[in-house]
Amino acid sequence: MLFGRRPDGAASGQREAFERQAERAFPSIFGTALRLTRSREEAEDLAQEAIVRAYEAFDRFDGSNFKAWILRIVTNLYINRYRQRQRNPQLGSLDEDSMSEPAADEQETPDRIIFDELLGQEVEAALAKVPADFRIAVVLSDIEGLSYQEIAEATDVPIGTVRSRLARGRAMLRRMLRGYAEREGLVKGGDFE
Amino acid sequence: MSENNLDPTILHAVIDGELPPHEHEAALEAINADPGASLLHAEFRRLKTAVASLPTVDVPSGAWKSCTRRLDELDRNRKAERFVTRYAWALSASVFFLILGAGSWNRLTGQHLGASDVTHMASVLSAPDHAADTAKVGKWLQDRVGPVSLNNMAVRPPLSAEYGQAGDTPMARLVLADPQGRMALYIWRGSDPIDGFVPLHGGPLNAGRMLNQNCVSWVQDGCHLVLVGPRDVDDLARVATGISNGAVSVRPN
Repeated sequence: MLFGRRPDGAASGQREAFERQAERAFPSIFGTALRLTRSREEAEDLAQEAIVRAYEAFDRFDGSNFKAWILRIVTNLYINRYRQRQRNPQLGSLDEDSMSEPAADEQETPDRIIFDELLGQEVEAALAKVPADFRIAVVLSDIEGLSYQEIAEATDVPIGTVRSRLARGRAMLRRMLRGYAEREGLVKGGDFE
Repeated sequence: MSENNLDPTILHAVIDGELPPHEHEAALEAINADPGASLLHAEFRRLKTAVASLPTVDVPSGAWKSCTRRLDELDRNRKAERFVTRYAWALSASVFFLILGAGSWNRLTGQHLGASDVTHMASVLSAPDHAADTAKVGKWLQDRVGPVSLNNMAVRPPLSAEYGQAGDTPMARLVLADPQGRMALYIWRGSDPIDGFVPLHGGPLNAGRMLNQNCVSWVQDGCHLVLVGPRDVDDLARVATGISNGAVSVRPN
C-alpha cells in the first residue's frame, strides 16, 4: 500500500465529473457572483476562485445538489473575501427584525401592471441596490431556486434569519420598483399608499 | 395583512412553498381572509416571478477556459505532490543511505577530521592511568598507540596518561605541565588533516581551537599529535617544538 496514492485514472475521472457539473452550473455561478459583487471583473475572479475551491473539496461533495453546493462556496467566498474589505457594513442602519410592510390597498392598481411592465434591467438595477445580505437571500431564492435550508447553509445563518432577510429584501425591492413604476407613469403615484 | 397582523415571513414562506402542507393551507386561508394581505401576497408573487425571470447573465467568453486552466495548474501541482508522497519512503531512504554512504566513505578514506571528531574520540579515553610508569612514557605509548619519538618526557614526566579506543583508532592523552600551567597532548595513529586547523607560520605545525582552547597539531612518526592548553598558540608551538624531538619546530616569521 502506497501512502496518499490515487490512481491517475481515478483522478482524471474525478476531474471530468467535476468539470461536467461545474460547466453546467457555471452560468449560475458567474451570475450569482456578478449579482453579489456588482462588478464583472470581481465576479470573474470570485467565480474562478469558487471553481478552484470546489474542485479541491470535490471529494467531500455528497453528490446531492451540485449547484446548491457550489453556490454555497461562492457565497461564503464573497462573504469572507469581499465583505471583509468593507470597513462600514451596509447593514448598519437596517433592523432585520422590524419588518412591518405597508399593507396593500384594496383599491390598488393590480400588481401585475407594475411588475409585468417593468423591464428586466430595472429589476436588475433595483436588486443591485438591495444591501448585500438581503440581496444574497433574494438571488439564491428567486433566481437560483435554492430552498431556505440551502440558503441558510450557504450563508451560515439560521433559517429564521433567511426568512426575515428574504421578506425584508423583497420589501425593499418592491418599494424601489414601485418608485420606478410611478416615475415612468406605469401607475399613478397615489395608487399605492 | 395589517388587520390580521400576519407575519410577513409567513407570507413569503407561502409564496416560496416553504411551509408544511397543513401550515400552508392555514396561512393561505388567513391571507385570503384579509384583502390587504391577499393583494400583498399577489404582488410579492409577481415580484418573485419578475426577479426569477431576469435574463441569464452573459458569461464572458474565456471565463470558463480560465477556470479550466486553473484546474490544470492544480492538477499539475497535485501530481507533483502525489509523486513526492508516493515515493516519500524512497526519497527518505535515499537521503538516509546518502548520509550513511558519505559517512562511511569519509571513514574509509579518512580524508579529514574535525576538531569535534577529536573531542569525540577523546571522550572515550579511560580514566587516568596513574599506574603507568609515566617516566617510561615512550614505551607506554609504543605499546598502546605506536612508536612516537618524544623528547623531554623523561626529564619532565607527564602527570597522567590515559588510553582509549575510538572505533579502530587507539588514542592516548598525556597531561603535561610547565611553569605556565597544564596542557594535554592527544596522540593517535593517522595523518589526516584536521578541518579548521591552519598552518602556523608556514611550518609543519597547524593551529586551531578545540575544547574552547588554543591548540597546535603536527604529524610525527605516523601519528597525529595535538597539544591543547589555556595559553597562546605561540607558547603551545614552543612546547610542541620542544617535545617533538626535532620533528617540528617553529619557524621564525
